[in-house]
Amino acid sequence: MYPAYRLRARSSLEHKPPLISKHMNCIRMVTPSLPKIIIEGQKNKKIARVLRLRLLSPGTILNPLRSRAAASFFISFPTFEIQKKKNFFVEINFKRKKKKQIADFVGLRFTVNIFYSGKEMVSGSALSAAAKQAEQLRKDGNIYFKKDRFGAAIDAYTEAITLCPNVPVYWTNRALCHRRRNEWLKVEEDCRRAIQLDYSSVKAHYMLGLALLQKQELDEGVKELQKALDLGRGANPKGYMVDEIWQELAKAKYMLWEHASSKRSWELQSLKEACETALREKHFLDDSQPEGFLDEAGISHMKQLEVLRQVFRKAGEADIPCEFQVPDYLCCKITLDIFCDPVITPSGVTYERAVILDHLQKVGKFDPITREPLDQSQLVPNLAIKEAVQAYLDKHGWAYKLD
Amino acid sequence: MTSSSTHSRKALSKIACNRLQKELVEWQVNPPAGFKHKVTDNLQRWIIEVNGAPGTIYANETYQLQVDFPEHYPMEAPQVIFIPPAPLHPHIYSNGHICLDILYDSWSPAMTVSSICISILSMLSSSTVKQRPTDNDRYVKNCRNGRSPKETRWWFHDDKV
Repeated sequence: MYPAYRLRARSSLEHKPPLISKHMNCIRMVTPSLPKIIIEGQKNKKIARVLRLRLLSPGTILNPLRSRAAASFFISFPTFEIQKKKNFFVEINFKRKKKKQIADFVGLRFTVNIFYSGKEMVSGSALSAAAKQAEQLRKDGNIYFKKDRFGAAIDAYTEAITLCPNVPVYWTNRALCHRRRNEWLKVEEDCRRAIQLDYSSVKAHYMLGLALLQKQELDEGVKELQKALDLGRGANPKGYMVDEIWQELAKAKYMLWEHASSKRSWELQSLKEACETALREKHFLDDSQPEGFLDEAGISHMKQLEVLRQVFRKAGEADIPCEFQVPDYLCCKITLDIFCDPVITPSGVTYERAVILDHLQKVGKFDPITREPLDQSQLVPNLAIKEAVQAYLDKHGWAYKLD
Repeated sequence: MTSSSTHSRKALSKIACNRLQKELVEWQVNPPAGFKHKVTDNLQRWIIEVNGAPGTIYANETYQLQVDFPEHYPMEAPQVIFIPPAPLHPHIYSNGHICLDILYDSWSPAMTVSSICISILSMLSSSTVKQRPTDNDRYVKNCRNGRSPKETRWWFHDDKV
């Protein structure tokens, strides 16, 4: 059902890495269905290889990538193994995005490059030429980035992406450059792509979160930051990222709380005024009745107003920030700050993970409070406290405020 | 300025800064009995006034403690010394250095300025004689070049006093 094009690739292992290049012209491609190319070859050794298909087109290309070499479009394939002495073939499927773009394939010229590499590929120590080049570009980009030359860095990463679009690091690195240039829409785009490739990318979730916050999509942004934080803690609890993410998350949560609390207090205030007016009116009506104990009525009226005020003060209490309202049991005994990632020791004392790890490394292998011997392996997450902290913060958003 | 000010000082880390601010607030709300923090805008050096506990041989006497915080406080102990004249005590040298294990080898990051102060006061209170350590002259001479007490290899031979 798909138009298929066959290309016989020679097998050659004399050179390392041997390169086989074939050109073919695609006269016509039936457009409504997805085009497909089949590459056939023979192998007599168990090897891994990387296939790269390059489409040369004078016109629009499928899924164009911003690149200096904008006229070419690459598809990279992951390495895979070929059984001994068996024929192999690979199917290349183009993903369809829009019908219009598929139509542009008419008259395309294909160059099919097949890279073979020797045993090193299997052990993973060697990279294909394209991957090597992309790695070099990434390194160049990193150097530019360090010198604050973000434009040049973006160009380098873009080229790396063009060569190997499936490496999430290239996307996140480029996103970082966009971030420094405050081009948040591009940050979002690159991060989403990186997440597609690698869902567990801490940086991608982190920067996506920041980009969403910039767009004032607070809820979504917070969700991404939370994901980044969870992933980051799982990967490297002491890393610099975790702290940075936490700071940003706290800032965002504080903003959320500020919005919500000012709305709440405004609602409370207007309700309070309405209630007071209503009470006064009622009192006025009661007063106008001739047979009343005027003094008593006045006193009870004052009392009612006082009670009303108290009720409203109580209702707004959770929103009043106050130093030292975070209860001690939710604070680490070392940082004196509310827990982010609490862990408990065999002595039953809970500490902030990053800080207790620091202590074990720098001060000594003992519990700071009980002085019992303590090893890193004995630390256990204190999930109950973590939940308690979350519950407290959900109710008292001001506690997210960092100095 | 005391001799110890030559001790190289780096700015406080963020963690240290945060924690000291919290400690200061806590101190203002709930200061340890017998101590008074002299208000300055220097978070890294606290000057604390100590009053001898009533009923002890230091009753009605006032001394000053100087607490210097290192960059990586509380992972490192602060440097605590008496500003001379230092109280006459078997564990306090005439240059103000204090021989107290928790300030050096036995430091724990869970301790605070408050808890250090209480330890120092209890050390003062449990003394029955006003005298200098036996090796006072030798030690003070060794420290003449402004050495910090934290560089001393302390020998805590007696924890009764």
